[in-house]
Amino acid sequence: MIQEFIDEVLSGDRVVYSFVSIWVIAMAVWIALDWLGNPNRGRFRPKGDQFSGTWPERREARRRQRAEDDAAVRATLRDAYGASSLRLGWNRRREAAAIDADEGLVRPDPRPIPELPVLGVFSEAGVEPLLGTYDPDRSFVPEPAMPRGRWRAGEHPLMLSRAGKPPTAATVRSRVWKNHAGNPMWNHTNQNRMRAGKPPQRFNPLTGKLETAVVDLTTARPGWRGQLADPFVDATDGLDVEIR
Amino acid sequence: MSTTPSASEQWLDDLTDTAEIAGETVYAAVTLDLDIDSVVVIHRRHAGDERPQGLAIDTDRPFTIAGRETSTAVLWSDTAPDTVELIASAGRLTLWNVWRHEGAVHAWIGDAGIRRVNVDDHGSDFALRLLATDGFGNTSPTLEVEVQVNAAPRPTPNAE
Repeated sequence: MIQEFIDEVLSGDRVVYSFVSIWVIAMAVWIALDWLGNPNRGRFRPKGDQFSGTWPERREARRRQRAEDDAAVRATLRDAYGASSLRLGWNRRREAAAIDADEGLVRPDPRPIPELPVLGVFSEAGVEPLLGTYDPDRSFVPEPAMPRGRWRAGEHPLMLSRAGKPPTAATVRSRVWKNHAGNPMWNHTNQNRMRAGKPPQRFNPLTGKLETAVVDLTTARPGWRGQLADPFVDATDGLDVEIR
Repeated sequence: MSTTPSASEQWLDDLTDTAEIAGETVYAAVTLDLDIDSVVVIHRRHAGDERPQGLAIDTDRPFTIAGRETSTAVLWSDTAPDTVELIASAGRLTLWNVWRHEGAVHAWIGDAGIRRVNVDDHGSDFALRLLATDGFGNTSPTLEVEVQVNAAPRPTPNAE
């Protein structure tokens, strides 16, 4: 009987198929047992990383959180070393892609990107060049020369690099958070986040969700999305930022 | 340095709008469920002068205030009169405190929170007092308002 089994099953090509099949089945069983045997896998999350909402909303919130964390590290590296990464082989193409990714966090709105005020040096004939903010809809506003060099906490968020290059929006935002980290208005948890260049968060009882603060890049002030109408004045209050 | 988490940290950690601070319940927002159309009178008793304090209002159905119809509004200490009356439809009415700092409106951060006290006011159907602090670690309330709720008068049928 054994000889018949060897002759019929373990002969020729069949032995190869049997060998492969046995290993595939064994691996599948092993993966299934590993999956079932670890009840905590994927379930534990620190409270600060827990998000409410539907599954796609939670997944998007976690993705956003990871991207925020990465962007904060890259902004710190850009301030310190002028590049988003210290990896060997880090080139301009990768740097541009990293900056694009970070800018995407600041500008997630799919609406058309508004014209940005341009920070630069403008000169007129016979007049010493001035550093200022240029907006096509407004008159040129001269400003004191922006310092250059390596940015440190407490310095102007729009400080230029050593080469005179203006900071990216993501870098400005990260600097704003670091500058405001000592403000007693933010609780300890948020202050720790802000020291790392990450935006502070709050719980909105109306929506039951976490909200992330935004930066108005024209004023470099922190705030929150949304508006609250004041019925006793014509204007509305709130941060209506164009770029966040 | 205190290690006791602030109310806003507890709201963040537990994803709830209430927290226990020194044996007191501190609310992120106070919600009133109005069974019928109501006249809500909000009287500001005190507002800190370090920065503008506001009482934000949000409802699930539009309400009328200062001749305008809206579902979200804020009564600022520097623009709104001390006593404001709004006509709200039956439904949810949520109140919370906000403040202006460096040109932006903030709420639910730092040491912000609302303590509520029911008031025995015989002149109204329901009344409560809200003692709110902004996020700057004040021990005394930076905004104190009294809210009185009365049933809205029913429209009289036309005699013709």
